[in-house]
Parts: sequence; C-alpha cells; structure tokens
Amino acid sequence: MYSRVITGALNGIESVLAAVEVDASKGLPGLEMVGQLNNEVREARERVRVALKNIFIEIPPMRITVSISPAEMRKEGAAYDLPIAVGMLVSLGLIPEEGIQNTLIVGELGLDGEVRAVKGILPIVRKAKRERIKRCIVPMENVREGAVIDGIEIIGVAHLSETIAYLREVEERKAQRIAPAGQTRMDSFEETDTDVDFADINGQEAVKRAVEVAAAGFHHILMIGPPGSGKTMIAKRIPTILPDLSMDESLEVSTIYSVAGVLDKKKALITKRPFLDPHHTISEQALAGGGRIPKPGVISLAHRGVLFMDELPEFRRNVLEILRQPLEDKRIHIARAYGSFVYPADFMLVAAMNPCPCGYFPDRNKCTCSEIEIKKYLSRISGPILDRIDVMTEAPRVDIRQLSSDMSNENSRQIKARVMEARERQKHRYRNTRYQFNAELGTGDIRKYCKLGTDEQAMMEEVFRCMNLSARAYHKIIKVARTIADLDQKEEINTEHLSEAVCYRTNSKYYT
Amino acid sequence: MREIAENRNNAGQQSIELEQRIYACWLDTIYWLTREAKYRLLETAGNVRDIYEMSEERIASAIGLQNCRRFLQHRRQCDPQRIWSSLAGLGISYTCCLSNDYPSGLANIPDPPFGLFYKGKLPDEKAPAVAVIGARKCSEYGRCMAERFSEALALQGVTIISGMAMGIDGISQSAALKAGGSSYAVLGCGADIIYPKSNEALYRQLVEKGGILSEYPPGMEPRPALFPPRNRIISALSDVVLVVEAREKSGTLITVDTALEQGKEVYVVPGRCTDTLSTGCNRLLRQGAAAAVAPEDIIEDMHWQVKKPQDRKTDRQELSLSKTAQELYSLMDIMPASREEIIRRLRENGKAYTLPQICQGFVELELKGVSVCQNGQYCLSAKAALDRQ
Repeated sequence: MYSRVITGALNGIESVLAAVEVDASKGLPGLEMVGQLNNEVREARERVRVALKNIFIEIPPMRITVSISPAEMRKEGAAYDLPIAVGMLVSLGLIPEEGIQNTLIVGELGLDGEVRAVKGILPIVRKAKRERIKRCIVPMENVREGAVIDGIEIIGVAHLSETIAYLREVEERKAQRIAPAGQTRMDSFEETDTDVDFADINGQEAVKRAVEVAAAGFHHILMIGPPGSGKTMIAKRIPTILPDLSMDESLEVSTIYSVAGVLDKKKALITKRPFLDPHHTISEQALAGGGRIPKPGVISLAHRGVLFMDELPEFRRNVLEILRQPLEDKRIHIARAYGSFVYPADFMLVAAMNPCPCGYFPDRNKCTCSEIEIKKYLSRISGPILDRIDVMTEAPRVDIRQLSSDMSNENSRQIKARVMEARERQKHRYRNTRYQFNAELGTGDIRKYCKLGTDEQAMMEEVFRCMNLSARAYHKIIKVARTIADLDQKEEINTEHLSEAVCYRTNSKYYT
Repeated sequence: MREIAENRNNAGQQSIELEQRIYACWLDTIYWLTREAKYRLLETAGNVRDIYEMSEERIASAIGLQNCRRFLQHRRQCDPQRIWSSLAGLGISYTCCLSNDYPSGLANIPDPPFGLFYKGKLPDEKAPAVAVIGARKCSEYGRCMAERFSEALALQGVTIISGMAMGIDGISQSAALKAGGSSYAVLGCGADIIYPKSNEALYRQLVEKGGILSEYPPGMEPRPALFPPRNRIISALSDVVLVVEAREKSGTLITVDTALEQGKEVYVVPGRCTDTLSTGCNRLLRQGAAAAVAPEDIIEDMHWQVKKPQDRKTDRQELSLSKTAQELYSLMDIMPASREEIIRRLRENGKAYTLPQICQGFVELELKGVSVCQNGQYCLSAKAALDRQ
C-alpha cells in the first residue's frame, strides 16, 4: 500500500515542504530509501526499524520503498525519522490514512522510540502555515518554538507510541489526548531585566553620545582608545538602548537561530537584540557561515542586533574583508558545492581598538611604539571597511576622580527613549522607500533627504576645504548630521548638528 | 685615459682642480673602504690622481693585502670619468677634502669626511648656521617649538641644518624653508635616497632651496650604523646646536656630544619635568647647556649681525570667536588633551554646555586654524599658541 506524509526540510534559511512516500508491496523483503539522501538520512532506516521493534511493532517481510521528494534537493539531518516511521505504519495499515491528512510531521527517533528535538522548526512551521497545513506534529522539546506561529495547530510528541496513538484517534477526540501547544508568541516577550545599564558608566560622555547617535541612525561605529577606557563596557550596553525587536524582526532573528540550532528550548523566540562578540581568532567560516551546507555564521546571528568586534586590528585580514559585502548589502551570499545560500546579516557593527600595539598612543609618556609600528597597526583595517563606518570616536583614559565619583548618569531607558523617537522620525521620513535608517541613504538620496540651508552649505564647504575631506567622508558627515538632527527633533539640519557630525568623522584623525 | 692625460698637459689650475675632484670622487664611491683607509691612501700617494696609478705594493702597505685585492679589481672595472658623469646624471655634485669649496667647518673637526656628495648647494660659509635636532616621535609642544625657532632664525638669515628625519628634524627644516630661509640636510644614506619616504616633499624643496648632503656614496641604503657618524657632520656644519625634544636615551644626544667635541655651543629648549620627551633636554640643561627660551636669545648670545625681521605683531589678527569657542580656547593649551579631558575642565569651571555645543566650538576652532585635532586629541595650533603669548 502507498502512503504520503508531509514533512519539512531546510534549505539555507528558507524551508520547503517535502513529502515522504512509502510503498509496501510483495517482493523480496527489504527496506530501500531513495531521494538524494546523505548519511544521516540513510541511517534513518536502522533507527526506524529498531524503534518500531522496541514498541513491539513487527515489520512484515515485504518490500518497502521510501522516497523523499523533491528528489533534486539534497537532504540531510535526522528530522525525517519520524515521518518515515509514520509513513511505514500508514502503508502497513497500522495508522488510518485520514490520520495524516493535512498534517506535517517532523522529528528524530531514538532506538527506544523517543522523539528528539530537531533544528529549524520555526521556519518549517512558518512554511506549513503559508501552505495551509492544518496541524504540525513536532518533537516535544521544540513545541514552544513551533507554537509561536499563530493559526496552526502544534502537537508536541515525546515518543513514537504516543504519536501513533494520537494519529489513530478519531478527529474529535484528538485534542483530549494531546492538547495543541497553547503558548502564544507574546509569552516570550515578557519584560526581562538586563543586568547592564548605561548608568554604570562614569565619564566618557562623548563616547556615550556617539553611541547614542550611532544607535539612532543604525550607523556602524568605531571606538579607539587605550586599554581600560571602557570601550567593551559601553559596547555591551548598546543593545539596551536599541528599540525592542518588533514581532516580525523577532521571527526573522529566531528563524536564523532555529536554523543554526542555537535557539533556547525554554524561550522559543529571540526577543532581545542579539549581541555577539566573536573572539579575534575567529575563522572566516565561523564569521560568515560555513559547512558543506552552511550554517548561519556569527554575522547572521547578529542580524538586527549588534556585532561587537573588540580589538579590530587583531582579527585576521581576510576575516575582516568578509565584512565588506554584509556591511553593504546587509546579507551574505555563500556559495558551496551544494548550492548557494543567502543569509541575512543586517547588524550594527561596533568595533573597538587600541590606537597602537602597546595601546597608549598618543600618550607619548607611556607609548613605546615607533611611528612605523603605529602606522602598520592602523593600516590593518582596510579602507573599504573604514569607509563603511560612519561614526568614529575616541575613548580616552578615564580619570580616577570620575571613576570614584557617584555621578547620576543617564540610564539606558532615558537614552533608549530618545533613540526610539529618532527612529520614529526616520520611519516616517522613509515610509515609502526602501530605506529604514539614515545610515542606508545612498549618495543621490542624501541630497533629497538631507537638505542643507545656505549657512550650512557654506560651513560644509569650509569644512571640506580645511579638513581635506574625501567625497565619501563628506557624505558620511551629512548622513550622521541627519541622525543628530533627528535626535534633536528637528527636520532641518543646522550647523550645530553638522559640527557634531564633523567630530565623528573617520578620517584625518588617526587615518589620514 | 689618453683624453685625461692630454687634458692634464694643457690645462690650467681649474682643470687640475676638476681632475682632482673626479679622482677623489672615484675613490670615495668605494663604499667598503673606510674613511681612515682613504686618508691613508692619500697620505701614501700624496695626491689623489696618483692613487689611481699607485703600485700594488704601496696600496697593500697602506690598506692591507685583502683590501688591496678588492681595490685593484675596482680600479680595473671602474673608470673615474664614467662615475663622474653618472653622478652628474643623478644631479649629484661632489666635493673632497682637498677642494676649495669643502666646508671649512668640516676641515677642522677630528674626523672629517673624505668628501661630500650633495644635491643642491653647499651651505653658505658666511651665514650663521644652527642645527635644530630632536626626537622623531615629537609632541605637539616639540613641533611648535621647532617651528617657532626655525622660522624666526630663518627669517633673520640663519641657515638651519638638520637630518631630515621624521619629527623635529623635518619640521624645523620645513619651517625654515617656508619662512624663505635656507636649510641643509645631512643624510645617513646616499644623497639620492629619500629617507624617510614621508619627507619626500621636503626633500624636493631642500634640493631646490638648500641642499642634501651625505658622506656616503649615492645608492647607499639607510642602515642604523650609518646614522651616528652623520651627526658629527650636522654639528660641524653649524655654529650652534639646538635640541628641541629628546628622551633620556636619544640619538640626538650623540649630536650633542660631537658638538661639544667640536667646541660648538649647545642650546636646549626646556621642557616639563614630567615629560619623558624632555628628560634628555632637561638633563642637558642640568649639565650646563644654555637654555633657549626664545630665538633671539641665541642670536644675542652669539653676537650675530643679522637682518632685522619685520615686526610679527603687524600680521597678528584679532580672533573673533563665539562664546563657546572662546571658552574652549582658554582651556586649551599646546599639550594635546582628549575631548573628554577638555569637557572635564569645562565642567570644573562650572560651565554647563551641552555636548553638541561643545562640538560646535571645537569645529569652529579647527576651521579657524586655532586648534588642531591629532590622533583624537586637541591642542592649540603652533600659530595660535604663539599669538596668545
């Protein structure tokens, strides 16, 4: 007899619906599996056979053929175990065919019949919803992840026998056996207190302000300063002043985490802005995404959040150069033998570095580096990367008086309120365009959205001449000034905004 | 060869002088031969022309057997006339210790160079000369002082001699040329090699308005061992050595030592006791060097008859600054300070400006050329600092 079970498969960040077809007919007894399967999928044969035996179901001596379609797609992972087992049981007549109608099944099997968690439940369930599937049967451990999608019934199962019992039940009594997972997506959005806050930082006013500007316009930022000046401390607090993730963003981010298999089992949705701080020994593959079928890399895990690269010049050159495309296109394109994959990578780059190898330049009393060493150190960051960083700020050494004083610093909540207001203005301004933030503005649109008055124009001309700016630096200053004006709740950019933006320029300070 | 011989037969004093120069130049381009060996050869032969035709035994007795073999090989391969014309092709001239344009200052030191390769001119013997030297990695204070002294001295017709290195050397030479004076650089490599590369523009100006001098033959790459000996030439060519900034252990102090050996005056620009970049300077002061507080001090002490510079005060303009900028200006100084530091000073004075206002002040100062922003730190520009005095 023939049976067909719907399941889901991952293809990069996207998921597709797949079908597991099983046919049991007379012939030389055996179990054959086809459909471009890799080793883990092939091993399903043994897992399924033993799991069925251990729940006392004997497979009759028939010729059983399993085919997983679409056949042109390479399949990997153990998530096909459960649908194969169910498909076999249906084709052997042990589960009624109506039981699997309009139902997506996914899960890995243990030899004792236990159903184990798999990666990528979230995108699979989303896909199922779009394809108007009524019900998804997923491993119990993944049930919360699936349940964040509304309008589709999510059934969590812990064991194969439980699954069989459920599928055999008549439709009306199914809910009595296992109730659909009742968690709604909002459960994940509970207010979570973070233990870090901008109020912890004494001094470094200028750096804090620069960070606020960067956060408001989603500009990439570079902080330069000696060791112990609080660069890392400030970077760690940036997510606390970024607006909360919207539902769509949260789903987007959670999907990436789900595909990467790093989603928290207890809290299915990522609701806080990601903050990733890879160590500088990171490999290209780990940063961009790697593997035969690439998993999302660190830059994709930082999607919609902060990618903090401490000690930027210490990263290997080719690792840094990987950032070029994501910084420009906000996604990364990875081509491998099995196909090419596109992962989103729209992150805010927060970079920190020392001004020289010993860390103390330009304090000449302490710095022991030669001019050439300093030049070499700074030049490890290539021009194209530097070009994509809009805001640069210095974090000087803090004074002991500032450290010990109990100044009442602004807390993250206050800064966040201003950032959100600035973002609101941007949202309104770019409502019918492809832009979201000032940082994304192209050269042509800068003129359109960042109009300068005559005074401002005159000032920029003088700045351009006196400070020997490049065209790109000039545009960056105007973009940053736009954000500063937004923070100031002004539609017009004035000279004060421009002046501040000039102070954040990236060239002609360290880099000339 | 025959040509040279003929020339000699029917030429006057001038061509003998030229011939001597050509042969000396040929001898001096033998880079592996030490200065002492060259002088010994000259002593043995009595005349540079004869070195070229000296017998093997006499050469060997002067410079040793091993050097003699290399020397003979060189003599077979290199024609003096050809070397002379290839030097001319590089725009390099040569003077040897026997020539009449050999700087007299060099002739009187214990170890004079055998000759000098130079691009541009040789220093004017009549003009007073000051060597301005100091740290490569200088502070803004050092930059300001080097500019101030060199500019003022150059305006009064004093020649500035230095090593065209990064930092004080290059800064003082640029300042002198900018003021319309003349300046000469003594290099620790061939005169045709621009070292450091970052001073390429200065090199070209020096060739045009002053000179690039070197004891080493053209093509000689810079090596650490070549630099200390060139310092004695710097001090020998000048009447006064002025040290602007030097660490406790600094190459600059070698020049000071040679200057003292040669009986030159040493002036030192005092620095703060806490500055590592001034420890060398302050130690020199403690040991009895003269303190140079203003350029006029040197001129007065040396009793130089110099042309009076036009009054600086006339070209000083009144600064018109906004209130914030004025406030920042009063808190800034020649020592670089981070923006954070200046904001702290502002706060200590009880001034409550917002950060954007402060930024505006900084940009205004920078646009008006009052302050400079370097490596993320702000300080007054040298001009503004002088104007404020």
